[in-house]
Amino acid sequence: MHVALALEAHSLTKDFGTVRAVDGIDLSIEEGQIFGLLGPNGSGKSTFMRMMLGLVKPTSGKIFVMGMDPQQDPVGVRKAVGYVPEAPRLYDFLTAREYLDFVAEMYGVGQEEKVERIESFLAAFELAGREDEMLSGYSQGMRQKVAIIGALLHKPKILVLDEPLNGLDPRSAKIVKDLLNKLTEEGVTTIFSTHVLEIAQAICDRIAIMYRGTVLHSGTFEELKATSGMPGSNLEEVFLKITGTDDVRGIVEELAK
Amino acid sequence: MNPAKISTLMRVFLLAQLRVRGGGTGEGVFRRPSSLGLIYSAVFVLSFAFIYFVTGVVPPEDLASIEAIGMQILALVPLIVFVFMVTYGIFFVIGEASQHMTSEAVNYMPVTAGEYVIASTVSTAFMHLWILTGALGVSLGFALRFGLLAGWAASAILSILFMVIGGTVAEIIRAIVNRVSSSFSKRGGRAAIFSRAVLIVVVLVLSQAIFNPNILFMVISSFAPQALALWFVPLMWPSIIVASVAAGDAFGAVVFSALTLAFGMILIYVGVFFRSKYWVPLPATIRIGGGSGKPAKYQGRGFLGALGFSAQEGAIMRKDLKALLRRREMVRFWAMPIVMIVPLVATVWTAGGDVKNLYGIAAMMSLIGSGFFGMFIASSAIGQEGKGIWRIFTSPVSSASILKAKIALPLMLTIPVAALFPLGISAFLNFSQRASFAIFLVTLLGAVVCVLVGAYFGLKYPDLSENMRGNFVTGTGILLSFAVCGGLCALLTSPFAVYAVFQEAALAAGLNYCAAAAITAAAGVALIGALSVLTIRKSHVLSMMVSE
Repeated sequence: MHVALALEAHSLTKDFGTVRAVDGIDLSIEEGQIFGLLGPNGSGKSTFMRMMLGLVKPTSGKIFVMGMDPQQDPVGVRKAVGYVPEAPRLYDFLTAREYLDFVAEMYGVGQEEKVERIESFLAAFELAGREDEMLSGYSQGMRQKVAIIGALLHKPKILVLDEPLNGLDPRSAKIVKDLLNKLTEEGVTTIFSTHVLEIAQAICDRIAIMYRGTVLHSGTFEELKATSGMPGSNLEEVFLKITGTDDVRGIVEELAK
Repeated sequence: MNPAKISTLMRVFLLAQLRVRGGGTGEGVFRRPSSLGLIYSAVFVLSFAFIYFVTGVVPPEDLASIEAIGMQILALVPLIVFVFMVTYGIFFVIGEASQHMTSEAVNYMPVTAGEYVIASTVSTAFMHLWILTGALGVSLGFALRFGLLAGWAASAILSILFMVIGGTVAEIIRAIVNRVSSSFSKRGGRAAIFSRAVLIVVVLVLSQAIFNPNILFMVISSFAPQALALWFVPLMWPSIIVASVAAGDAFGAVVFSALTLAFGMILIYVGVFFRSKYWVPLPATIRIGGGSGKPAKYQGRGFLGALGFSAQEGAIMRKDLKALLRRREMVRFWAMPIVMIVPLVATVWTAGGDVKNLYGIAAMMSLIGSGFFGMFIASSAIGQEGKGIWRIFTSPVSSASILKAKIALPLMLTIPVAALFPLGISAFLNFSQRASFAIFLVTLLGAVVCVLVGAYFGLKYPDLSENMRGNFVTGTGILLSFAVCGGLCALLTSPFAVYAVFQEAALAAGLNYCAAAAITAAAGVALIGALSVLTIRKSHVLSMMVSE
C-alpha cells in the first residue's frame, strides 16, 4: 500500500561552523500523524524544524515536505505549513487582532474566513476582550496562544510546533492537545517537539528521540519500549535510557548538599 | 546604602552603556571600561594642547578679546556639562537603550532607590566623561595661557559636581517620563502613542537647537556677563563662583559654593524620591480600538492593491507603517527631516544676502531633510524586524515580494517629503521658478537614490540581534549608507552647482540651465536603475537571514 509522506529526510546534515547541529538524519513521517521530536537541549530539534521550512540550508542531504524541497520551493512549503518557533517573537507594536490580521493576509486567507476564524480562536483561547491590546503588554502564555492561533489560521496541512505548550495554562494546553487530535482526523500532520514527555506519550502516534544531532530511535511508543528493552516503563524512563542520561541521582545528591 | 552593591550596579550599567554603543557584546578594546580612562585622558591632553597652541599664535591686539572668551568658557564649563548630561538623559529616555539599562531584573532585586540612582548617575557620568575632560582641556588651555589657574581649578570641581547633578536631573526626568508614559498608555491608546511621538520630536528639535553652534555662541556671549544679575538661578552659580575666584572674592565664592553643594544634595534626594515614588517597573498595557469585536479593516484590494501590490506586500507595508508610528525607537526616523534641518535653518538666517549661498543651503536642506529620511527608513526596514523576522520568512512570500514591500514603503513616504520640502523652502526663500525647479529635481532624484542606497546597505548589513542598538543596521552599514548617499547626492547636484557658481564659463562650455537639468535627470535615472538592479540582486540574502 502506498503511504503518502508528509516529510522525508535523507542524510540530512547541518553544520554551524565547527558545530554539527544535525548529523545525517534519515526520517520519514506519514501524513495525518502526530509526530513527536524528543531530545535534550541542543540535540538539533529546532534546527531540523527550521530546515523543514527552508529557514536553514542543509550542509548536505535532502529534505522534502509534502514532496517539495524547501530550498527549491520555500513559498510552496510555507503555504502548507503552520509554524510556531520555540520562543516566538511577535510584533509588540501590534495588537493581537492586528497581528492575526497580518498573518492571515500573509497566507492569503479570505476576508470572511479570516474574521470568523480569528474570532473563534480568540474566544477558544480566552483572549476575547484582550484582542485590541498591544502585544507588548501580553504575558508569555498569551503570546504563545497568539503564535499558535497564527499557525492555525490558514488551515495548514502540516503543523510544525517547537515546544508549543510552553507557558500555556492547563485549559489552553488541553485545547491545543485536543485540537491536534481533531486535526489529525482531518488529515493534518503535526510535527512537534516537547520536553513534556507525558504529553508526547499521550498524543503522539510516533516519536523520534534525537541526541547530538542524530535520531537514536524512531517509532511508536511500544516500539521504543521494545527497542530499549524496557517493556514496563514509561516514556521518561525510556527516553533517559536511550539518551544515556538516566543516572541523575549523583547530580541531585551533589546539588542538594 | 551598600557601597559594594552600588559599585556592582555601576559596573553593570557601564557595561550596558558601552554595549549600547558597540551594538554587541564583543571584547573590543573600546568596550572595556578600563579603556575609557585612556580615551578621556587623550581627549583632555589633545584639547588642552590644541587651545594652548592656537592661543599662542593669536596676534597681540586680539589677546584681550581671546582672554575674555577664555574667561567666559571657564565660567560656562559646568553649565555646558550640565546641559549635556540632561540632554543625554532625554535621549536615553527616547532610545531603546533605556529598556535594557533599566532591565526588569533590577526592579526585582534588593536594590534601594538611592543605590540605583547613585549607581545609574555615576555610571552615566563616567560614560560621558569625555565631554568633561574635553571642556576642561580647552579651559585649561586658556587658563594656562592667561594665568587663570585658580578659576580653572574652581571650574573643574564645579564641573564634576554639575555633571553628577545633571545625571541626577536625567534620572528625575526618566522617572517622570516613565510614570507619565505608563499613565498615558493605560488611558490613551492611539492618542498616547501620537502624543509620545510628538513629544519625542519636540525634544529632538529642542536638543538640536540647543547644540547648534550659532545658538550656543549666542548663549556663551550673552549669559556670562549677566551671571550676577541672575544670582538666584542655581545654574548660574558656577559662573558666579568662577568669576568670584578669578576676582579674589573669597566670600562670594564660599557662599555660592555652599549653595551649589546644597543644591546638588537636594537634587540627589529628589532623584531618589522620584525613583522610589514614581518608577513603574512594568510596561503598561496599551489598548487600541474599543475591543468591540469589530471585523478586521482591510478588505478587497484597497489603495495598495490598486497600486499593484499583492495582499502580502500590502500587509508587510501596513505592518511597517504601524512600526514606524508606534515604536518609540522608530519615531526618530520620521522625525529626521525636521531634526536635521534645524541647524541649517539657523544657518540660513545668518547666511547673508548672497543668493547663490542660499541656493546651496536650500538644496542641502532639501536633500538632508528628505534624502536622509528615506535612507534611514529604508536601511532600517529589514533590521527593524529583529528576531520577529521568522514571521515573514515562514510565510508563503517570496524574497522579491518582501524586498518590494520593504523598499516601496520608504519610497512612498519619502517621495512626498522630497516633493514638498524643496517647494516649501523655495517659497520661503522666494526663489525664482528656475531655481525652485532645479532644487526640486535634485531633491526628488536624490531622495529616491538615498532610499535605494539605504535599502541596499540595510539588506547587506542588517542588525537583527535586538541587542541594545540604534539603527537596525550595523555601524558599517550606516557609515557606508551615509558616505554613498553623500557622494551620489553631490554627483547629482554638481551640474546645477557648476552652472550656478561658474555661470559664464559653464555657458561657454555649453552647460546652460536646460543642459544641467537634462544631465541631472539622466544621471538620476541611471543611478536609480543601477541601484535597483544591485538591490534586487542582493535580495537572495533574505532567504537565509533567519539562520544567520
